[in-house]
Order: sequence, then C-alpha cells, then structure tokens
Amino acid sequence: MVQIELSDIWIIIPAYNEAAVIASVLEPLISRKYHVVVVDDGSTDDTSKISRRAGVYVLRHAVNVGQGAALQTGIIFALGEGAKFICTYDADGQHSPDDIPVLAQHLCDANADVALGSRFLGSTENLPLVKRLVLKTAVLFTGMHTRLKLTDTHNGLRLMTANAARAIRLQQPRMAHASEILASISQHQLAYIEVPVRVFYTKYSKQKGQSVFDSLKILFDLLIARRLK
Amino acid sequence: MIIQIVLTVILVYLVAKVVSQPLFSSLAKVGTLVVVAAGILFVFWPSVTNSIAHVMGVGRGADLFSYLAISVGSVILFGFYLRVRSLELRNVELVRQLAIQQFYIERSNSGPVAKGS
Repeated sequence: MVQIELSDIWIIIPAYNEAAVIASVLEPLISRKYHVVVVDDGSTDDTSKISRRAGVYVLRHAVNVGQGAALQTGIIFALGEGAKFICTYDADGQHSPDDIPVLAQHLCDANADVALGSRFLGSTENLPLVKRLVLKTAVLFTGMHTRLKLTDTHNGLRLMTANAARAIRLQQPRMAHASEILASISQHQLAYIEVPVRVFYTKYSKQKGQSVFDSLKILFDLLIARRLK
Repeated sequence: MIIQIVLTVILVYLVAKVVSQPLFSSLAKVGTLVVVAAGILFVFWPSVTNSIAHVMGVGRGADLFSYLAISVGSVILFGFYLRVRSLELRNVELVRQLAIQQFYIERSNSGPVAKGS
C-alpha cells in the first residue's frame, strides 16, 4: 500500500475575485505545509496580490476563461513541478482543510487513483433546498452520462494521483469540468472512491455559487461536447 | 415597387461585400451569389416561389421561404457556435501558456525564495 506524505500533495485553487476570503482559505493550508497553487482566473480585485503575500504559488490568467481552464492550468503546472498527488479545492471557503488527510487515507486504503469528496456521505451546513435539488439532479444525469455510481458529482474537493491527473485533461473551460472529470474517470477506467467530507455554505459562498441557470449552461456544454466527440 | 428596390439594393450590397472580401472562400462567394440571385428573382417574381413550393409539396411560397430561412439560419448559427467554441479553446491555451511562462519569468527574476512573486 502506498503511503501519502501530506507534503507530496499539491493543492490547486482556481480563484476569481476571491480577495475577501482567499487569505483565510490559504492560511490553514499553508500551516499544514501543503504545496498550494492559486490560479487567479483574471480577477479584477486583489486575489493575486493577497495570495502572493501569503507565499503560495500564484499563476495569473490574463483574462477570465473559466474555472475548468484554471484548474487545468494549475494541474499542468503542478505536474511540471513534480507533484505526486493533486488536490482540487474551491476558493470560497466551502471546504475543510481537515478533510484532505481523510481523502489521502481513503485513497491509500482503497489503492484508488481518485478520491472524490461527497457532501451527501459527509455533511453540509446551510445547504439551500434549491441547490440540493440541482445537485441531486446532476447526480442522476451524470450517473447516466458516465455510468459511475456516485452520491455527489459536483464537489470541488478531490484528490488524485499524478497519473490520474495526467489522464484527466480538462477541455471544458467553464463549469462543466466537474462532469468532465467524472467522464474521464469512466473513460480511462480509473479506480475511484467517494469519501465523506464537509461542505460549509456561507452567505459569501452562496452568492458566489452556481445558479439554476448556470446548471442549464453546463448541461448544454456537456451535450455539445458529447456531439462533437 | 419600393420594397423590391430596397430589397434588391440590400442583396446587391451583400453580394458586393462578400465577393470583395478576401477572407471568404470561393465556395462562400459562389453560394452567396446563388442565394442573392434567387432572392432577386423571388423579389420581382414572387409567384415563382409558389410554383416551387407546390412542386415541393408546400402550400405557399412564403411558407417554403420561411422553412428554408429557418433551416439555413440554424446551420449557419451552429457553424458560428463551433467557430466561437474553437476560438475559445485556443484562447484558453494561450492564456494558460502565458500564465505559466509569466510565473517562471518572475521567479527567475526574483530568485528561488519567493514562490509567487
């Protein structure tokens, strides 16, 4: 069984106008000695400046191109720097840094390629009803699309091996990347495991989150991408 | 009569613009010429569209024209979507390469200590 040194984990945080919270998101990660990469996706606020001051790696997109594109930029960079494990992590403070070692432990125990966080196996705080319905619908749709049996398909907290990260090459620049990651897991027959994690919905994260209309756009992107393959 | 002149001027202007643009392929230019020629024919002799519609099993020329306009418009729109999508992906690749290169340039300028500066 492979053991994961937590210092081998590179955390990729796509961020767009997160100056209000990015320092508090980075602080517990830095104190735990992770390698942290913030990909500033063309923010117009001080996201880059604050992240640089915190002492993490900062890559800055010249213009806003989308969360999926930012994640892929961070993954390419981290792999180039010799990352052994890649963790994707949202910038809005929804995740708990304490869940990362839990993901690592499950990834090791199951000898899996990818550990996917699940808020429905774990817990949520202040999850709005409409959001819950949208997420459950996404689980149904993604299950049909990828044939993966999952309880939470759009959780930003994931841990994967470097080989899995190389196999999952994100083409969807905007929000459809979450489904695209799962489709890649299915396509490349990567071993995956779902891990209970906590997701905290704050007033801030609810404002930054996806609307029902965004979900329809994601669906459209996925359908078109499927037709173009 | 006035509407026929206005439509003809618009169609002739369209074909002149397309033919004079080096960006358009020969196929696009010929296609535009054919469409504009058919357009002028229908503008001056609208009864021709009725005859063609009857041959194709459609009640009226105006209906046939609507069906064709919607079909051709949808194809063109989808073509534009694909082109925009392709440009978007190329743009993403450029932005990505720029971000990564910029990082290494800044790091080499500031020394090995600072990660992000």
